[in-house]
Amino acid sequence: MALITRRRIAGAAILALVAVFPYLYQLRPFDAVLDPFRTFQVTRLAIWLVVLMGLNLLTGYSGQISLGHGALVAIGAYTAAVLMHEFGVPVVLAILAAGLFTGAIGFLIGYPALRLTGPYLAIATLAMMLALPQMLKLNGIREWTGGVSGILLTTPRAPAPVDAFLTDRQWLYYSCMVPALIMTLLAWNITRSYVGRAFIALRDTEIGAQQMGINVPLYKMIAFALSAFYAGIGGGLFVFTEAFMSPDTFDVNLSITMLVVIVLGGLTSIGGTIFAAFVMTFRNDFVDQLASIGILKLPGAVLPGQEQSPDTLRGALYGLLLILTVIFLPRGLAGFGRDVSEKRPWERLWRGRRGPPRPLPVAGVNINGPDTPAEPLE
Amino acid sequence: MGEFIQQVATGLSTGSVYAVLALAIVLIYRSTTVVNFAQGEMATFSTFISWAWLSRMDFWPAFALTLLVSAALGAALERVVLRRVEDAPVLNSVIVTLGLFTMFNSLALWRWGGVPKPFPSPAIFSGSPFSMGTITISRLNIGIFCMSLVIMAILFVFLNYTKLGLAMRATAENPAAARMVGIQVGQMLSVGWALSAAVGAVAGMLLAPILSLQPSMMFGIIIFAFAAAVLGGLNSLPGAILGGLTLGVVQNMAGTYVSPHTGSIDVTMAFVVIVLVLIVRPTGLLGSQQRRRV
Amino acid sequence: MRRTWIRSRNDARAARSAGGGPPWRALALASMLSAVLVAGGCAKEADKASANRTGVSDTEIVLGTHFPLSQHLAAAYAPIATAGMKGYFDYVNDQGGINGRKIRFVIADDHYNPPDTAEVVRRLVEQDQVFAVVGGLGTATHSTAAAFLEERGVPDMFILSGASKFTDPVVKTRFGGNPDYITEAKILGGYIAKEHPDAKVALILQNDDFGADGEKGLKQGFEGSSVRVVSREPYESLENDLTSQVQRAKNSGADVLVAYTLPPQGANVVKVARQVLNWDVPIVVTGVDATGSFIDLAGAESAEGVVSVLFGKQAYLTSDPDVAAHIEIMKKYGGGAPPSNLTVVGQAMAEFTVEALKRAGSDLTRERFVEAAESLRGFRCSVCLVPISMSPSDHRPFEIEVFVKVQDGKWVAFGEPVGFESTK
Repeated sequence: MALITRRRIAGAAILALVAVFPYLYQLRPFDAVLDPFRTFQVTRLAIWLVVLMGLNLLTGYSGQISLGHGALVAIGAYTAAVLMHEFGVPVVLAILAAGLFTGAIGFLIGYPALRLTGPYLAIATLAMMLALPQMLKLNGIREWTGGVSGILLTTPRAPAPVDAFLTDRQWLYYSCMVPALIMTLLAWNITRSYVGRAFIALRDTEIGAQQMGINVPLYKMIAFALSAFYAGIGGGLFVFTEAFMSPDTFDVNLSITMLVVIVLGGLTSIGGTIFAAFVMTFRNDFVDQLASIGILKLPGAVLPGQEQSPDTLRGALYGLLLILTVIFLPRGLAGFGRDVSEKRPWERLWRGRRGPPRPLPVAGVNINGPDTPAEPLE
Repeated sequence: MGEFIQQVATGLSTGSVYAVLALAIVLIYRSTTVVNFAQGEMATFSTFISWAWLSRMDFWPAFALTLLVSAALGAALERVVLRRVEDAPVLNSVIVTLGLFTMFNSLALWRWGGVPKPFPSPAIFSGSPFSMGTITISRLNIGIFCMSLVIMAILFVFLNYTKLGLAMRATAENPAAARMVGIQVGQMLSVGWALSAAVGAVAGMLLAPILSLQPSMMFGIIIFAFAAAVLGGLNSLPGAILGGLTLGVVQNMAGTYVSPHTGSIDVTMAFVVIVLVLIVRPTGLLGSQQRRRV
Repeated sequence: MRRTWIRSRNDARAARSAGGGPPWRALALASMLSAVLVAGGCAKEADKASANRTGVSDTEIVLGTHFPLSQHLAAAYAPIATAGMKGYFDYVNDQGGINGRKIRFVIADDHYNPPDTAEVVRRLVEQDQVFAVVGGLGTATHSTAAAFLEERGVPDMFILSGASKFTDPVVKTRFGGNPDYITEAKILGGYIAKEHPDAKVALILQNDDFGADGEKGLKQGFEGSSVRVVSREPYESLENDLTSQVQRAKNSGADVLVAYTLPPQGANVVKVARQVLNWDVPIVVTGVDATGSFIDLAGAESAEGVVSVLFGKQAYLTSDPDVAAHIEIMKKYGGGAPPSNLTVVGQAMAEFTVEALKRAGSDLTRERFVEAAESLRGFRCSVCLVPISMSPSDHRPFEIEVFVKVQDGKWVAFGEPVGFESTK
């Protein structure tokens, strides 16, 4: 393979962009569209990337439906918060510990999950998500978690040597972006390794995987543990940047929104997860844009006396997006992008239709049946 | 002792609330093997529709009309949305029903607003509570319990003793074979959704006087309804009722004897129940084993 | 079954070089798309001004708030901002504004979710360049915002949360809006101690800050009397059916029931107690429940005799000229929302803001605005039942409340207003 390829140049360019992003708003052409608020948003994006990567590893690659991912993020966040708040543990260690602890919990959750399939697993994880706020307020745990009022930490600041050339916000950006890049690279490697292929096998056909000699219980638990590890790190980073955590911070709506974005972005795809993280971060902007061009205002459709606000339709928009994506774009936008660039539909149009009609696609799953290779690696 | 019996009675009252919604969940699962996470929101939406009519007519006519509309809505949903994911892996249908969950919730909020509205209970269920010695149960709760039994009986007879019911059961058990025998699988699934939506609407209209009509009305109940359905067995209609009542009683007992030491634990308990049942006895109390064909 | 999904190492290597490589394509696509979104979103330009004068121009004052407008049951409170506050600001603008400036009010939806609040508040400050944030709703949600606003020196006015942590200790730029829950509960506790000296009290509380503060205040109010708490029943905010809790409260032998709930649950408690359990004890509810909707939901008959406290006028007292004026304002500027205690609260907060802006004068800076707010002593807004008082050491407007009781389906005032200083 050549040392300098187009791909690698593109990659280096993007990495460079990521590296200097927090400073860009000070430069001429960029200050019209960028400002420190965007730096804040991209910091959030890095955190979402980690969290969503974990979810994708579990639901996309391994096919385990978990609606409780938000609960794992919350556990990670609380662990890190308690370590920093009660025990004065330094941030990096606290976050790492949070990741490992949450990973362990994930591993334990994997055990009962072995017996649960499809909808049962969804119900159980949804119940976990709904019960978590109350569990965090129980008498025994309340002393650690601060009960209903949550935990308030000191605002994160850039530490002494670097605060000369980094603002607090830039510091937070790098503190989150670096782990995010590392974790993304890690995920990318895992999905292309034996473990990753075992996950895909698990998703496609559990019994078949067993026949092939894959230790199904072990890999299921690994899948849960790994996704929980990501969730824990994400939660730790979150609580570090937010400096506040309450039992109601991660709720069911968030779990559903996370599912929406990774399905939209593309299950079983690292690029899809990146895309999902973008959608997650900028979803409010997106809805605001739609509202400002009047898409969400339907005259006469509301009860007289009821304030017509485009925001109330946001949930309907997400739901619709989810349904449409699952039906028409089952491999998400990343899959769509891949299809467009690889299948080159313009060529087919030119040369006329070729081949038999494609069977109904299914979300993230190899549609051409078990005899063909799993979807092309990107 | 009297206090204990009152606790049981209150538990049964609360449990009947879970039972009636659990019936809808079980019905959908039995006829289509889809777990409908949007069940609560669909019920709420139907209840809002009935509220709009209640200003113009009496309870029972509005009730009947709402049932029809809900059934039509359910069938339409199946035809338009669910049909496309029924052959796909479970993940797709889970995602779709979650999408429906947010959609219905949001549409209800948009159309009718978030301020809770009072909802009347039908005349035969209102009035002074029914008491026997020191034990009192509200008429509405008795009404809910009786309605659940009636619904269950109707569905039981329908599914087991009519041709249509037989066709529906066949479809759920083995769609391919059913198709070969000439059953219109798609129509059966639509009927399943229509019935389930109607049962959900009944649940909503009966519960609204207690819970106050608002878009988030079912949020607190839905997890208990799922726990009840799982406890009783996801494919057993009598199980739904048994599960609901049991859960209500256990919850009340836990609230009285355990909560003072640990703080509020009812939602936690529902979660624990679900997990325990699914691990120890996945078919629930009254459910039956489902064979999965490879 | 063919083992095509387990590849040999050669296959894997071939696939990697053919289509493999980190997902640059997806990254590029995503970057482009978000750049478009971001650029489009930045279409709204804001005046660049010095920090103290941010959000103020010769013609305009920009105010912002964060409110749940969707995706959460708290969206029921949306009319406070969308009708009450916005409506009054629009009315004032039509009257000529304040010292020649009109108010531009930005309401940001945070779905009652703290991380979203953090985001929208930063957006308000950094992109919309607001002069001040007025009436942010929610204790957990505002926790994340309060620290940020304090750091940036943005006035954080009339927070719609009764949590004492926002006003104790006093922060120069931060002011409460609601009465402090602890203080209000103390007032109610004092009332119970006076009217029912040997009472055995059963508490039904929401399992969060709100309920916890209520309990704290009630106990403070009971101090020195022989009132005892014999039962304590918490519930989660999503639960709407509190039959079990009321049942247990009754079984404890209590003779007074206190509910620290939101209106739907409060109504449920009253209905269950009166209709289902035939339990005739006096019921006292938090001021949050003193709304017309509460009576509607519980049924006028069951709600009869329930006691609470109020600081704002009831929207159905149409004989009161101020209330009539409020209804007119809501009709014209409130986007059609029905007048209710929500719109009243919103207008009250808006009136405080407008008064403080007026007193700050034409040379409007954040410093002068905050000092003007501190000078509001004995000021009574048109829809308030009682005057408010603030000072450099007291940043909560309401310390006095009026007792009300349900009579014939309406909240009717009785007795003497009672007050406590909420902070020294």
